[in-house]
Amino acid sequence: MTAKSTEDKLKDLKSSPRSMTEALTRAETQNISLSSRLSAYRKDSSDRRPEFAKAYDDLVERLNMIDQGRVGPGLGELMPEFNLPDENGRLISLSSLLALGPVVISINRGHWCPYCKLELRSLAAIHSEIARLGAGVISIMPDGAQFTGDYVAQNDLPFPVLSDIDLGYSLLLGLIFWVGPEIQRLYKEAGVELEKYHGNQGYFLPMAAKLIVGRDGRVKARQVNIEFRERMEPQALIATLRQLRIG
Amino acid sequence: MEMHQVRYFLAVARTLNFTRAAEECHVAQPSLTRAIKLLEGELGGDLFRRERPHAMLTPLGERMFPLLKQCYDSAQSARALAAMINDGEIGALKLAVSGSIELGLILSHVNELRKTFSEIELKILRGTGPQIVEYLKSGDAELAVGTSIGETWDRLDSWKLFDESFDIVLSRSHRLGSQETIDLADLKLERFLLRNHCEKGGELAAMLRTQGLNADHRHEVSSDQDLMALLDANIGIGFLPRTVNTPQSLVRTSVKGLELERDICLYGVAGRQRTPVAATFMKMLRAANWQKSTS
Repeated sequence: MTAKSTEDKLKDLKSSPRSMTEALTRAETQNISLSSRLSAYRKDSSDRRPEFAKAYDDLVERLNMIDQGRVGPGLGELMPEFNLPDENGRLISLSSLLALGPVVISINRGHWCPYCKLELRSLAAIHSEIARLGAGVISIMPDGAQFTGDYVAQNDLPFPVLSDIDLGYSLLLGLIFWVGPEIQRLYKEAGVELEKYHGNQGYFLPMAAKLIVGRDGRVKARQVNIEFRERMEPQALIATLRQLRIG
Repeated sequence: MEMHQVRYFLAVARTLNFTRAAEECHVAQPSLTRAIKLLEGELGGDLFRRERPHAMLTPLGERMFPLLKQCYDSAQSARALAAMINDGEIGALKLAVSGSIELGLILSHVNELRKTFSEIELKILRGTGPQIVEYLKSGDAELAVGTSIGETWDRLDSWKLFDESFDIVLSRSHRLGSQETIDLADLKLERFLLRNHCEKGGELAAMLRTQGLNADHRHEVSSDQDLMALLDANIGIGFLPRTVNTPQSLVRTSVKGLELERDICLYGVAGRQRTPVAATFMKMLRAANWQKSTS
């Protein structure tokens, strides 16, 4: 009797979190590096929603077959200019940011994506270090300011989130993909309302990516995560910015 | 997926002919075919049924066409806008705005756009719903901001920006002006000020009748400036949307049973090539947090 109840207690401790928020908090409090946070969340999430994990695996496999490692702007290439509105409606251009220093561009899937949330919060945590290295940070996602405004406030993001409406800029970078009918169905069930966030019926998303652009407008470091449940480690980003400063 | 793949797909979808599409895109046909094959692999199905020399869109192709076109146009305009700014070109924006909407609603966005250009030339056209549609048809305006004109022309692209309710507006010196609440019965003898320039005018009159009020017992105006002047002089009782500002001398209130709402929408002509400036402005208005800016 007593033995059983102890076992139950242990089970309770180990049990999967019931909500996304709970899982995110758990991933953040129990892990130090971004990659371990992401994989902790990924594990919890696939225990909770195995059908999502399966659909995501299929999607990533399909995109990987096409990719051959060449997706997105290459190292040394000129980063295309953008003029995109931030969460307050201010129009921000890449050239205006580059005038101040190198820029870390984070292409994100959306305010609803838990992996992006973990990533952007970890970017927020090292933002002062990035600023000390003379660089700026910007996140670009397909969601309107109606959604990114609260997101910036709730997650204390010290950098703007730009709205890439209709994913024009992400397409210029070669970074968009279609989620397909299966994930579309799962999103609808889970209350992820891409049509509302994007203001169109496209069901396109950008691939998660980090691009570090030097003052000369060229890509100095890049990581495109077709496997969007993995992201660039903040320390790798800091290392690149340090090198840029020396070089 | 990549820009060139989408461009090739759109060219084949338009010409329904691989050879002609390859010519249009200045590319060898095998390269075009290969690029489309890759795109088909990514989308998980065939986009065309090949019946040489013709090509027919499959249901997946039909579905993807408008979606990819929207995305491609957005990318093109982003690129073109950057080039215009870089070349120091003067941006031009031709905009029709319903007379029932305050220009102030969109001015912060106009200003943001103005800041990115060394110079920008604005053309603001005002009119009623039907006049706005005419401006769009003739090309005098590229975009329009209005309400409820979506059904009047089947070539309109429309995007809802936000919705808002109407208030009842009257002078502070009106006999009802200091009353805590106003009931339908209080309005029985009143003369209403109807805005002829408002797309919701007909709906408002119908609502007044339904509630047993005499909608014909009225004054008519065709601008908010005149409406405000009459109200200020304590002539009549008006109805104004929440985002139309009123001076301190006027009271705004609501009356149970007289609830009216309108959708503020952005319109453009479907299928017509938009200038990069108009395309950017369109995206700015669609991206904006209207809930925040109008509260």
